[in-house]
Amino acid sequence: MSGFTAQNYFGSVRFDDPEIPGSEVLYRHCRTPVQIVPVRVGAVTVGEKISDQAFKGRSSDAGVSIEIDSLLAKANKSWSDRYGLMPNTKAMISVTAADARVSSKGVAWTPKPKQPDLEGFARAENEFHGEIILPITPSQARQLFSQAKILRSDVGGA
Amino acid sequence: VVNSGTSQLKYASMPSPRLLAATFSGALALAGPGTLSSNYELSKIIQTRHAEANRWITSQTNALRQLEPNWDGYDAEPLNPSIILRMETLLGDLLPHEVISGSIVPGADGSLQAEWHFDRASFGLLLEECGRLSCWVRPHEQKEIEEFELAARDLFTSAVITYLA
Repeated sequence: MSGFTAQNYFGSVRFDDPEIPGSEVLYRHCRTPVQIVPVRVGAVTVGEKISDQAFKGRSSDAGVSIEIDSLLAKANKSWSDRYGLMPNTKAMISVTAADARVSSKGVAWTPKPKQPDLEGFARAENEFHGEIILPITPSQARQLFSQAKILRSDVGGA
Repeated sequence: VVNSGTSQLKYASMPSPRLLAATFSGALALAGPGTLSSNYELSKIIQTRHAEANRWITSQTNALRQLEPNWDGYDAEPLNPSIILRMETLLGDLLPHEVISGSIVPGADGSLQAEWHFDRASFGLLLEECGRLSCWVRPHEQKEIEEFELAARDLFTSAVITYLA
C-alpha cells in the first residue's frame, strides 16, 4: 500500500520509519471532551484548544495512535471522511511527521488488524493507523501541541 | 522578585503582600478574634475559604472521579483517586481566593494537569502518576519556563499572581 514498513500493531517495539517523510501529516482523533480547554482573554472565553494531555500515552503503550494522511489519500479519503467514525470523537488535530519526530522517538505505520473479539469500531481493520512513538516527555508533549492544528472541534464554549 | 531570563514573568517565591494581606484578613474575619490557636488552623481556614471560592475545582475533580475505563477512547485507565486528591490539595494550597477557573485535564499516562490558557500566555501545574510535580509557563512567543517540585510551586504562585490575580 505504501513504501512504509508495517510494524506489528500488537508489538511493544517501534522504530522510526525513514520512509515516512517529514512533510507527512498525522491526524489524532480526540475522543474525550475533558481534554479540550478554553482560551481566554481575561475572564472571557474566546476559543478553545486541545490540551497537550491528549498526547500522553499509557505507559504500557508503544505509541500514541494517529492516522497517516498519504495512506488516506491513496484510498481517496481525507481526514474529514474519517471524522466521527470513532465513537465519541470531539475534535481532530494534525501535526507533521517532522514535528512529531522532534518531540518523540519517531513515527511508525502500525496497521490495525481486524479484532473479531471486539465490538464496534474497535473491531474494524484500520490500514491508516500509525503511531507517534513513546516515550514523549511532558515538555515534548507541550512542544508537539504548540505545533498542532485543530482541524475541527465540536466542543463549544468552556 | 526577580525576572526569569527573557521572560517578563515575575518569578516570586511568595504571593504578593496585597494578596497575602487580603487572604489572611479574610481568614481572620471568618474565624473571629482570638480563635486562631495555630498556623495550622489558619492555613486550614484559608484552604477551606479557597475551596469554597474555587468551586470549579471540586466540580471538575468530581467529574474526573467518574471517568470510566477507556474514557479517552484509547483504553486509558481511570485516574488514581490519590492523584486527584493531591491536585485538589495543591490547588487549595496555592490558589488565592476566587481565581479565573482553569481546566483540570487528565492524561492517559495517569497524570493530571491544571492549566490556564490566555491570549498572552499559558501555564499549568502537572502532577505525574509517579508523583513528580512540575509547573510550566509559556508567555506568548517566548521560551517556556519549566520547574520541578518546590521550585514548581514557586513558579506556579508567580504565574497565578501574574495572570490570575
